[in-house]
Amino acid sequence: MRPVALVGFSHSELQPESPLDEVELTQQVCSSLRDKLGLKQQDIDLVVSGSCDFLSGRPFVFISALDGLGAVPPIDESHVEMDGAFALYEAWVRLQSGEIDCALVYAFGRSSQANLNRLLGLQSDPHWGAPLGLDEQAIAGLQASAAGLLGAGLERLPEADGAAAVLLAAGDRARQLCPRPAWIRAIDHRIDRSELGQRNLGQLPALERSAEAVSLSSHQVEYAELHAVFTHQRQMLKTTLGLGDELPTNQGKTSAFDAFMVSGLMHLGEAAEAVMQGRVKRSLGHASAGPALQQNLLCVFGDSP
Amino acid sequence: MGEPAGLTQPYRLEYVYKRGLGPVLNAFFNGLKRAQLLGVRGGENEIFCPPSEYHPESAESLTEMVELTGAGEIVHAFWIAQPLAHHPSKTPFAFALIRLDQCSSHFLHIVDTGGDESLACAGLRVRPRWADERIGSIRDLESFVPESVDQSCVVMPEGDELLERLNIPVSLEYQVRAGRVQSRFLHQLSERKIIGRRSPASQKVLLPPRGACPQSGELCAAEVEVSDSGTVVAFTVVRIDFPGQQLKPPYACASVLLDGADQPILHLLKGLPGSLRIGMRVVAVWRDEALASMQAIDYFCALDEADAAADTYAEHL
Repeated sequence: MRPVALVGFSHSELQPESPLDEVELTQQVCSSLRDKLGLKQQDIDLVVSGSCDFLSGRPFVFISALDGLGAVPPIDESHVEMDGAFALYEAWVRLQSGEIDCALVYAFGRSSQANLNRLLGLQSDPHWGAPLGLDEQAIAGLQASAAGLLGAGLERLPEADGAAAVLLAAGDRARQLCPRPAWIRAIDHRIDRSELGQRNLGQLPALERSAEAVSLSSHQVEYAELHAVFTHQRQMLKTTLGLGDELPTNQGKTSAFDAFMVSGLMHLGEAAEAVMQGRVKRSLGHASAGPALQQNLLCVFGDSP
Repeated sequence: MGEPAGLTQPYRLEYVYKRGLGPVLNAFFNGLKRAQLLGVRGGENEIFCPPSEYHPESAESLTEMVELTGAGEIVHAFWIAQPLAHHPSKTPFAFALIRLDQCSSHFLHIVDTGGDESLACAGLRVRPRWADERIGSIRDLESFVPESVDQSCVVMPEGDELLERLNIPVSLEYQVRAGRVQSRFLHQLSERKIIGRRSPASQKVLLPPRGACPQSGELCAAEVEVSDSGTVVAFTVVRIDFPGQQLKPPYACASVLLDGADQPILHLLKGLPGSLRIGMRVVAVWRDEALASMQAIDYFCALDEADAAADTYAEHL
């Protein structure tokens, strides 16, 4: 494996209704990250973004957001219709290929424009899920019930608009850019079955396999950032990953909000920052997506490659 | 410069999602039309309902349909005490995962217990209540009800017209907010001012202004008022009618380079399609009412003056 590290993290304020649009949010986080690292856009080999056009109800919002980067003359650029954490995975794969040395990953979301509860129901099957009026609450409620964690009801983080950006770099490039890079020791993401009725919603088998794939228990992580919108989901993640209550978790300032499309990348950024700032030697970042924690990504950061 | 309040506007996105059906889903939805639930055999002791076209683990193609009784038992339920507009029931109900008899997967649907939350929990035996009129939709199955409830339904004859695709209507509500720079630009239009912004990188006047210069990614703070007359640099004549049309055909859609701007805007051009040409001079015709919108300009029309010199717009061709 080629050593690759997260060397910089920047994010906007998280607000219930940001006065900034997609271009302005992108501009803010990307320029602040480049300034922090002393980079110009031309110094960056690849840009990958994560966002969801359904949040704005318009096609190709992710293309227009490129104005905030300075994408003319054309840059090498890619996009995933997912949380920015999964864009980070694509960038990591491209860095592994050896054809690039650094990549900017960013994400933006303005869920205040949409009805997120309703919108997330459209992630379910179009033949027999969405036409039933399924929504995020209903799916979360069924999962909490399946996990035996429904108790007094559902508890959800407040929604927020925002954006975040990180820079990944390989080998010596990473050492030039950051005195203490957060090296990606292991990264893996997997997906559970798409049909809700074919899953045991109380369990997260894909996440279990990811934890094995990154040899989570061997890393002795001292800090974890977990991406869960509902309280019961956070509990499910801790149980599945075997993280005890004594492990410091989600102490970053981003954990108080759900910035749809952005929070996963922010959790990775916060976990990496714990290493970059020398607070810990090893940290775990996690991101999720899809109905009922269907998709999960684990990333272990360390102070050495 | 003063910061106007951000502009906001409600917006509804609606479309019909059209899905072609293969043989497995076709059998399932035609089954619903006949008030019957069908599953697909996955393996020796495995039946999936709703049916999968492939095995979720082996990816083998699945084709053998199996008729189910429709009866089953609640495995997990989530009570909806206050149904929302997009929910399928106006009265309290439960979303539930139901283990249909014979099935190995769970069936996600709703359960109507007549408003009794305490009934809607694991272990309750249920069966389908069918809609009187069925079109081949998951909503043909109105809801599951406790098995003890009496019910009957009209069963349509076999060999009814076969569905070939599903039409699934989707409707989403938005509250679009224009952001800082665009809100300001649109406010200015309502005052009959067209104001672009100068890119610090290229010194060009961008119109409409955006949150950043697409060339450099820098903020563009300097505002530059441009003229409401300009030069046509491209056009196409519209001769057909369509819903929402602003002008009566024939008219043109034109790319107009306003005097003082370095970026053409797209707008409508009224009248005389026969005399349209690149280089012709045009002027905005403003609406009487003040609109914070590109529609503050009703359309452009020809100016009675000589065409612009080609070198004034050459880089926009």
